[in-house]
Amino acid sequence: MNAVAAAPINLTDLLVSPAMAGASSSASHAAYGIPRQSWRGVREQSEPMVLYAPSQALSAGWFHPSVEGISSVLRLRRGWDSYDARPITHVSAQSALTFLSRVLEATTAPPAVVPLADGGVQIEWHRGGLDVEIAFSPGDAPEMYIADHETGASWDLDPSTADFEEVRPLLARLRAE
Amino acid sequence: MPPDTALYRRINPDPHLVWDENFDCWRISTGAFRDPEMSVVIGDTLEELARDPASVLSEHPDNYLVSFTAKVAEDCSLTVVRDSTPLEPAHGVVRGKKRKPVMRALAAACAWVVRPDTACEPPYQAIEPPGLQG
Repeated sequence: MNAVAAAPINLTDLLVSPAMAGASSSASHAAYGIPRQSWRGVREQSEPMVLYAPSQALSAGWFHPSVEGISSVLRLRRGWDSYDARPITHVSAQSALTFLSRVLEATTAPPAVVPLADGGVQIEWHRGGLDVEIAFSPGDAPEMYIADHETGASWDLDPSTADFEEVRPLLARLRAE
Repeated sequence: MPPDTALYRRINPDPHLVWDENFDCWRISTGAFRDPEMSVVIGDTLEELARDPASVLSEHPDNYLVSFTAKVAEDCSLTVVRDSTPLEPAHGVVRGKKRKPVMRALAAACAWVVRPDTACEPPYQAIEPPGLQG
């Protein structure tokens, strides 16, 4: 296969559609098409890679920068770290976007989006006196770490469990200026 | 391998440096230490070859460089193996699954060898990393 460079992502060109048939949530969802890298010698948009987010997330200040960050890491090819890093998996990317959509307020600052060599994605903030990192890797439960510089407390937890509710109020300190 | 053996790790600023707004400096993302087969360059081999550690960046001039010791890796229940390659005779691999406590321990143990302007100094947080879970 001769891969060609992926087309740059223009968010205004992303697909937006009403709730997809069979969606598990009753809330309407917007589907965002991200062109998959073409393996042919000509540029074409083959099967799009679609990420889902609730439509109310679109108006949040963090949304578009986060989607740009996630789509950027999804374009990375094998060996992107100059070693043998795996391409980022769609599942990891979707898990990260789903977490952001469910947890963040509209005024939360966008996170840094960091690719992981195992094909996962890490989202992180270092602001508001907090260090917040959540890693989503294929085949693993998500891992969250929070350190509070004001109190000296820190937590390691799975944000998909009830443990998350203990730290959730801290995320209000991640609001954008 | 002697526990004080230096292990050098290249840091690609895009994507592994993130801005720390708490301290207004560039910090290394713990994501740089996730790879279960994490490449490093082994210090004692560099010495045998009479090479300066900065030579690790000769093919990657836009990268930065940090070091930690073999003991740090072993304390994290990781295995360091020598893995010489034609392109890098001093190449090694730090093997083992790296969950977040291990990623943080490695990041916190790093010392800058080649650093960016306004680099944060590890350990970044005022809090000591939690005890390793193994």
